[in-house]
Amino acid sequence: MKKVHRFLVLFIFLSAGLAYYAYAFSLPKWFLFDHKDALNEWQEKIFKDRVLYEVRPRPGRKVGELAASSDQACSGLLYRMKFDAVKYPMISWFWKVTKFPDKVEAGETEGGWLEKDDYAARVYVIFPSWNFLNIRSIEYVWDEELPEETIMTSPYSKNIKLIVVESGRKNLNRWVMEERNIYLDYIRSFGHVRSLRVGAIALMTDADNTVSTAEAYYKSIKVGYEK
Amino acid sequence: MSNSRERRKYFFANTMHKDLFWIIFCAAVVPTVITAILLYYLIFYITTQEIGIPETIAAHVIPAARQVTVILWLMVPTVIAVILYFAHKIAHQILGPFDRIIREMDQSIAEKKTGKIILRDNDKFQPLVDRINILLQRPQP
Repeated sequence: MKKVHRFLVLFIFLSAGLAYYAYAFSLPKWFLFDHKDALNEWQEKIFKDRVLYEVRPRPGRKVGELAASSDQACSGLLYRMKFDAVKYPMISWFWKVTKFPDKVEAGETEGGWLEKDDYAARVYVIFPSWNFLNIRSIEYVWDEELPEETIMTSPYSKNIKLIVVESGRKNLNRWVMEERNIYLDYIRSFGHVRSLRVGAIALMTDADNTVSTAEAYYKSIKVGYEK
Repeated sequence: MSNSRERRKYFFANTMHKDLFWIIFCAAVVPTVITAILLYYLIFYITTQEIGIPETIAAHVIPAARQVTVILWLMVPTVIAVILYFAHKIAHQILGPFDRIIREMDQSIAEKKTGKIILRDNDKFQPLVDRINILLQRPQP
């Protein structure tokens, strides 16, 4: 009986060790969009109609791109990954916007914030919680009008904060690289925390609220590393 | 007459009634509450996990969860009241005849009463009373 106990304890420790190594070596996670099946590891989540997400590998190059085209639609791509955002706080990506949703026109007719809640490109970092009412997220957005580093609360929930990391049309049709410290952005958005775990990241291009169209591209997303 | 007054005065006829009531009440309430909490939590937790996108969760799941919470707060006292009523009734149905058997046996022992113990139509413990009656009918040595 004692031998069985010893074996069990050894098995548990070995499993925990293996799980830790598997976890440690899975970071940083790169999304290169370098083959047609690259979206198989992502889950499509539809809010209102489907946004066309298409992987475009570039022959002879290691990095492809993800094209997103929304015609009055809102759906996102979700990738579940768990990591400690205090230890590995960095995220970086390249994005390019070719068409912004028509927010001004929507604002003139409707005037509400919810009606303007469309962004040509968003990158989500989602923080899970055992309490489903307390799931929080940060959304890095490229907005046409708002100044960079603006932090907004989503019209849907106070647990969703939007950070404008790229602003205006000056870089329209150009690839722009972003690098953010998730932990620091979380503190700026929600206040201080001692531990912070990421549960998923997501990408979204939407134009449903403005009843317009939007187009953007994403590439070379790197998640979970130290600066 | 004084007994019926006592019964009306107190929620529990005696300690055994009280003990049995709490056993029945807890046996019904505890699993009900645990099941309700687990179902509520699991359904909404798994739904939020499946949906994934925070706006969708905030727009659809959280309002639904809040509505369900309001309904639960309204329903829980009702359900507990119903369980309370049935726990009291069942405990009384079991222990009422038991008290009557004791009372009749006390009267027999005190020789205030002779003959069989007679139960009401719906009373429990009829097999026990039948055997006691056989013993009572035996000629004493």
